Amino acid sequence: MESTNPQEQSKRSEWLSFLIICVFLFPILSVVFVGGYGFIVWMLQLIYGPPGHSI
Amino acid sequence: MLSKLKALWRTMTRPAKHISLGVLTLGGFLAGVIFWGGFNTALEASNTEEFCIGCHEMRDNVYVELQQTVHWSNHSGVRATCPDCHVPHNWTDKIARKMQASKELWGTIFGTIDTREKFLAKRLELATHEWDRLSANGSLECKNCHEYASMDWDAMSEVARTQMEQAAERDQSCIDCHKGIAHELPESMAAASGALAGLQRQATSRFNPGQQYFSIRQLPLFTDSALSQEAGILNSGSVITVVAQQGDALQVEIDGWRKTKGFGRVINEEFGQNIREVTLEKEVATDDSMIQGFEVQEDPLTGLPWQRVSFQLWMGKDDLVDDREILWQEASELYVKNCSTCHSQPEEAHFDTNTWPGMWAGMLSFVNLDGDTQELVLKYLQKHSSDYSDGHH
Amino acid sequence: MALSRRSFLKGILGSGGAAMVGPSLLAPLSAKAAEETWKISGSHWGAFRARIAGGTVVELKPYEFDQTPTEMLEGIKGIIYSSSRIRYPMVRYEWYKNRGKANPSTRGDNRFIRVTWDQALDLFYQELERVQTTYGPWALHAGQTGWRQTGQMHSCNNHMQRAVGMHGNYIRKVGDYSTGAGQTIMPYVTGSTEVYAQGTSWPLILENSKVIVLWATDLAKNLQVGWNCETHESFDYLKQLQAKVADGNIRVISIDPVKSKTQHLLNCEQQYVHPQTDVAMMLAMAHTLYSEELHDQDFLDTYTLGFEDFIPYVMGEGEDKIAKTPEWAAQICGVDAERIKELARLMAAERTQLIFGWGLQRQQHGEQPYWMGAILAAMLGQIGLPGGGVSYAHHYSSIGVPASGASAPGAFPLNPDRPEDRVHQNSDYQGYSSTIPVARWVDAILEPGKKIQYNGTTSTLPDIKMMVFSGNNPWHHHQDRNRMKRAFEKLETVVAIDFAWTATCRHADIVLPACTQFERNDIDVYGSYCVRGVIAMQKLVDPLYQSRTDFEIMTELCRRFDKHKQYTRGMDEMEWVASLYQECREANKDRYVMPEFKQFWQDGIVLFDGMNNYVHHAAFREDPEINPLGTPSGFIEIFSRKIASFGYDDCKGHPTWMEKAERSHGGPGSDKHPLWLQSCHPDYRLHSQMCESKPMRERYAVQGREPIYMSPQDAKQYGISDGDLVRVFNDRGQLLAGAVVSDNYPQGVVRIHEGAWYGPEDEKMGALDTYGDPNTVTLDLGSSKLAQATSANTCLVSIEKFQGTAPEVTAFGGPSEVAPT
Repeated sequence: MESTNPQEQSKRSEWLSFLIICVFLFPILSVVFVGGYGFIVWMLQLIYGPPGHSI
Repeated sequence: MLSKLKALWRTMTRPAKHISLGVLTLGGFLAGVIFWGGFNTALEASNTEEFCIGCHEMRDNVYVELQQTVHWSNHSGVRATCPDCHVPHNWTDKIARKMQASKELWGTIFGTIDTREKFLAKRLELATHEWDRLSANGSLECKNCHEYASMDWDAMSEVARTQMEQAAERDQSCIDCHKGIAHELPESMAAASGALAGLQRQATSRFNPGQQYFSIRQLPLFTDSALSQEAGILNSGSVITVVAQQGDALQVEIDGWRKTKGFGRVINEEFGQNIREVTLEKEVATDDSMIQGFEVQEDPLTGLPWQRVSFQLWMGKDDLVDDREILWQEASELYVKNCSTCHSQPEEAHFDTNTWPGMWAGMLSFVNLDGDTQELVLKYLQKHSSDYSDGHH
Repeated sequence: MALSRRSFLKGILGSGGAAMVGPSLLAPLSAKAAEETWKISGSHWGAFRARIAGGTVVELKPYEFDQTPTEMLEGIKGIIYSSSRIRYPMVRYEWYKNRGKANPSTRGDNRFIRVTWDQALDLFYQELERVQTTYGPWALHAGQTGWRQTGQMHSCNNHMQRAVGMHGNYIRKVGDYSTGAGQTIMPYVTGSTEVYAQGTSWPLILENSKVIVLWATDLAKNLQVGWNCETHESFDYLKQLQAKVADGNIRVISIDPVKSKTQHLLNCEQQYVHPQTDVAMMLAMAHTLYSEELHDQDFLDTYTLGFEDFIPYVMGEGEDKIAKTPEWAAQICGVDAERIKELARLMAAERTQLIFGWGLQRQQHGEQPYWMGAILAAMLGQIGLPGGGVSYAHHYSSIGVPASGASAPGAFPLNPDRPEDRVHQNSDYQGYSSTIPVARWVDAILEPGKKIQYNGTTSTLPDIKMMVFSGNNPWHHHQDRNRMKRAFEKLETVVAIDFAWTATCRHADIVLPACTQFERNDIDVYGSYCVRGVIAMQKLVDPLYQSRTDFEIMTELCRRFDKHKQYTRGMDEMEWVASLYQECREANKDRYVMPEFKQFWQDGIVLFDGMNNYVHHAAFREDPEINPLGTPSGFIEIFSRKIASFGYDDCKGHPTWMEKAERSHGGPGSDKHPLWLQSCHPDYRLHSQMCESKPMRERYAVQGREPIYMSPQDAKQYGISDGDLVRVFNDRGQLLAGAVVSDNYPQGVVRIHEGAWYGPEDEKMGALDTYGDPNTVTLDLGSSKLAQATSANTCLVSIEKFQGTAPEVTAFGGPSEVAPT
């Protein structure tokens, strides 16, 4: 069957991209960024000591 | 494959052609919400007691100890779980702590504390991590539930109220005094007995050269920075001036007076006053290159000659406080508490400095104080004797 | 006769009812008879088990561990059920009627009205308020202490002083009647009070001493009682000593004018010496040691200071230019010169343990014999050796018994928790001293503002208006009753808290009935110094009459100024007892395992089996630099520059022989009143405790009065036979006593035990004491400017056979209750 006309293909591609971005890429990147942020803070805490009064 | 990826990349980096803006945004929003919810659920799942005690190291050691304490069971039924105290509530610090948890992961995999013996051996180190963290943030996790402003002083016992009001005034970090509130203390904490353990918890950890510090209890002195050659003992409640610090060792200067009769091993704090500061080994006491001697004076009270001296030695950095008042406060309470068994005890200024040792010696049979504490209280009495106060008596 | 149905039914019901009620009337009686328990408790006289039946203490038997119980245990029931028990709060009638304008000379008339607890406590509180606001803390003296009953929680003085201390400040005292002179001089000489210090252990003495000198000390008499629950283990060692004396292993010499109970027990030698002349004898012994070069010069050089400043005085090169030779001393002390030399040589030749008793320092210049005793010991050079050196307390509360090393339970706190919360913060004593020597309070009342010298300082005696006594009987332990009467006439308010109607109560204004220790729960250490265990003091019976525990009394007092919660710390009696136990258990956790409180209370006692020997002054001897004594120099001070700097004429820089104000056997005043009255600690009491116990008193009283012991020679001279009533008198007062003629006593020496209850014939000045209290005639004089201690044993009297009808004994039986009008 001839379902792979350019319109159909690009539409499918879009939906796929959307799903990959929403469900995989951004979540993983979020974890990486948040984790990375946490890691950096941790390293800074090792150098400058544990967190002080935050009030 | 590569062409498929290239196609995908092209789609991702160009504006959508088929899916509407609303759908994309809504979808992204929903996905974000679902993700964030999921992320936090997972994160919070790792912040539960069940998760923590999933590792037998926690379940068989500190969890068991917690169950003996008031943070597990009490009359109001309000209790604390592991994360309440051990996981920072502040988001950033929480995330940082989660990354730090990679160390615990390592420990689980490589069995750093997987037996009781290994755990006990590391207890002090692990406890110190938490004490340092809580010291730094003023015991924030404790204060999340226990607010000074909300404490009902009248509901407390007299002893508790006295201590707590003082702590509240300074917004003191709870962990300063309440170490061991949820899990057992490391065995070495019993090195100073009951009365002095409280002082030990207030020991200084930072030293400034040129500043004076005071010993909580008897501490060994050494001739070398490696702390291997014994030179003598620094008595309880004595004054030293820090000259330098090398790792865990302090170089200190001690000034005092000693009687010239005998080997001169006993160094007293002031001329003509038997307030013992240091007891030196004979080799050190008789070594003129180590002990700098100054003027000699005759003590009119006894006719014995005394010489002013000064010397520098090395010592460990533990069990020193930066304010002598801390020691006097504790000693004063000990004096009142322990010495009113048979009679009302004399006022501190009732005797002079050199009479107190005699009085003290006669009363020691009646009290339960260990040597270090006895020494500290005697010194307190001597330094508050009639020689040091001007009140009419 | 025809019985109607009605009357039949009535009859049946009646008899049926009676049948049902009858047995139930009998039931409680039989239940009570069956209700009997055994409890354990402790006392000054030792530990015991008591059988309680029907709510009454029926029988007491010594606790099994005690190998040498004292027969005084049999007097305890007589304390609980004595006719002198204070039943209700009482207020002196005259004081109650005319508050502020009460006729002072009526004090001692023993007329009181009964009031309720609330009324009594309100009056007590009002008086505290009045005195603090009208005058100030200088007018209230609540600082005296006594031997109290045993029990760490209910220690009565702690309760009273804590409560009064939460209300305001008050005058306190320093020193005590037992050892005032000794505890003041010894810190200058050997650097500790010595009189309450642990001494060399008996096993070491038995093993090492060859000569034991008991100088004016009667161990067998005094070791029957203890500050805490007494174990009597000392007697085991006395028995061993008896055996060693018997087979010539150890020579024991009792230097005492009287043949003591200990001398009889040990069957040892006696060395007579004229009363109050011991210092002369000791100086002569020092002279012998020095001139015959028997003294240990090395020891003196290494461990002492000032010998070279003292020895000229001994050798005749001092200010007085009199050599203290044995010949010189013989004139004064009545001991043959050769004998003095012989004793000195004996002590120098052998390992000698010197043991002094407290009676020796309870005289004028009491500091001197103790100081001189230490110098003798120093010259012998055996201080710090096992079985050598000097002790001042082997007669006291198991000192010398090897200790367990355990910690004893603490006590109810004497001080307020938060002094800053005191109701009256005023601490301005207006120039008066806030602390005075214990025995100078009568001087204060009679001569307020007087400045006296005391231990290097000046004490300004306060103008006392109010006094509070708790478990404390100054009308027993203070001297010169008539002088006290004069003083008490000046006091505005006197409060006494006690369980028995002592002479102090008789002379008080508000009397509060405390209960005995047997009527409350408590805890004590078993063995004051040896800490052989911790004993539960289980309540035997409920408080009699309206008496209450001191804890309750003081809580109610504190309630009046809203400090009762702080006073009790929110704990009741058993919670306090349990917490004291728990703290003790904590303190001992590395040494001894103690059961949980509940188990302990059920068991009744926990024992510690450690026996640690100790040698007094050994650490000092080993290294005098590292272990100096608590003297100013750290050494034994034979010459004290510090005391010399005070410039006292009656206590100089070194021991001196000084004549006494009155002294028998040729001394001052002996021409007028020839007999020396010795008022030492009793044999059948603890001071004045147990005098009111009739069963005990009946063992020793003569014609219902306190015995006066005298020599056959004196009895003959005064025409007195054994059992006669004797009037004992001097310029200060007069008393009646019952004669016991015994050759334990030499001519010129009579003894009346202290603690005999004062019962004056009436309240007039100079009234005859009907029971025999020796302090009716004793001298109220400070030992010297150094200690200002009691001088009870500086006392001369005359005696005569009492003629006429003897007045009734008024000392016991409580007050005369007057109905309020």
